[in-house]
Amino acid sequence: MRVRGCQRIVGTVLSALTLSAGVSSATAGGPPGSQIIRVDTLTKRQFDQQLKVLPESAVIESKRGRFTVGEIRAKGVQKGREIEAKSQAGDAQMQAKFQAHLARIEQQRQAKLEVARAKAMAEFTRLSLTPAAPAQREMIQQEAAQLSQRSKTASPAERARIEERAGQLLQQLQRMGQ
Amino acid sequence: MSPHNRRYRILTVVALAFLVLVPLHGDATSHLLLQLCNQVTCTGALTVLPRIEQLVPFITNITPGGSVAIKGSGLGSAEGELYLKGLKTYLGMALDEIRLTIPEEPGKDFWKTTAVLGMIPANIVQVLDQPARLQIMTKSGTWSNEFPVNFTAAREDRLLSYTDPAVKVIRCGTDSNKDICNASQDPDDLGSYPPVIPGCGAATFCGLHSNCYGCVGDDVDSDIFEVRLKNGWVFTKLDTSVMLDEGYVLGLSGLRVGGTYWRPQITWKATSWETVFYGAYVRISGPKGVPWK
Repeated sequence: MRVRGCQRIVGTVLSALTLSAGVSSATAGGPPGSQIIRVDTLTKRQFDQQLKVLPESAVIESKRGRFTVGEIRAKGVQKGREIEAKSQAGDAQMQAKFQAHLARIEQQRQAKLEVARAKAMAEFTRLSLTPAAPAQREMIQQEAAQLSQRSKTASPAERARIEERAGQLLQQLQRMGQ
Repeated sequence: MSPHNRRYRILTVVALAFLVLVPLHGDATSHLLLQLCNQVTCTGALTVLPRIEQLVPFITNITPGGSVAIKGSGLGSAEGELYLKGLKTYLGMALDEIRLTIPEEPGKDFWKTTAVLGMIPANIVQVLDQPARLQIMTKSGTWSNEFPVNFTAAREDRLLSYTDPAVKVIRCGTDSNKDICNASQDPDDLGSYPPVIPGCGAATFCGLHSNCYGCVGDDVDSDIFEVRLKNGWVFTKLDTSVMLDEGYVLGLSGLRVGGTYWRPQITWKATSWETVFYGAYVRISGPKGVPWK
């Protein structure tokens, strides 16, 4: 609670002076013999203090009218219960909403995985049924082995041709790897 | 320049070029055959080394519960083993290699010499999105190349609680007679009405500001909160609840979906005899089993 600045109540006199000035015997509007507190003579802090110590029958006079301390307390309690009930209900609603979201998300994830799995198996089968492309890599390997064998007895000119072909096969391998 | 000198210069250039280029050419071609024989077997019996060449797009999903379709060569006709390797926990500890299951269906074969289908176990947790590797071991025990892949961690969703260390109250306005942010009351408050202090429940943050009953005038102030996520967690949704009669609550918005940091400033007004109460529920999503704070 900020004491200074939160006061729109008129008067910023010292507490003791204010209290003595703000409390008087009841006249009209309150039980006979009860005290009357004029809100506009108190700071909020002082008003809070008074609310805690004054008897239920004490009368508070504000621009809204006259109320007994008992009435104000009862209203405060009622308001507090309202807020508590509303906040709990709102919170339960939010939690239920989130749990529903979780259930929905999990269901969607599972369904998505199942669909993806079924699709992968079907697609894999379809791809596998397609006549296999010539095993390019195996052909390259076969030729590489032949080149390697030939290079052992090849003339310099033939060796140059072997190297050239080796370069082409390497490029093919690189393209396959991409 | 005389014709003699010109001829001499041309001959010098040609001779130098010959000296430089011929040996280089020879080295380069030898190198090519050597390179080729490093990639395929050139000696001995003709055997095809197992090799993962590519992943089939659209039916490959490198994530827990996902499937991997591999195209390759020399994988063998008998079923071997397929592994996911190189994963680390979010703490940086290496995980054991993970063996993928090869599906079984009557009449179908998901392990072929040139193609393999594997299923990634769904129970991989405590890992972030990260690069990993696939490797095949044939039935005869020969390992293939390691094929680089991008692993995507499984996700989970949470509702961030106000008690979570990722949530902080930076400032709680004090203009009212009762000021409470995230169930923590302004110590200067004297306990004025209403006497009840509602908790935040499941909210990420909440505020209660109660003007005194019987007082005159409005209370206006603001609260500031901070929410910070890490380890790949992001915001996904914001729900709010506000309870008031006459005043206002501003600033309960602006959460960036996909973001990791939010610092909302909530400005409120509680008229006399009124209590303002608000709550924000922030949903987050991130790698399963990984902390967000």
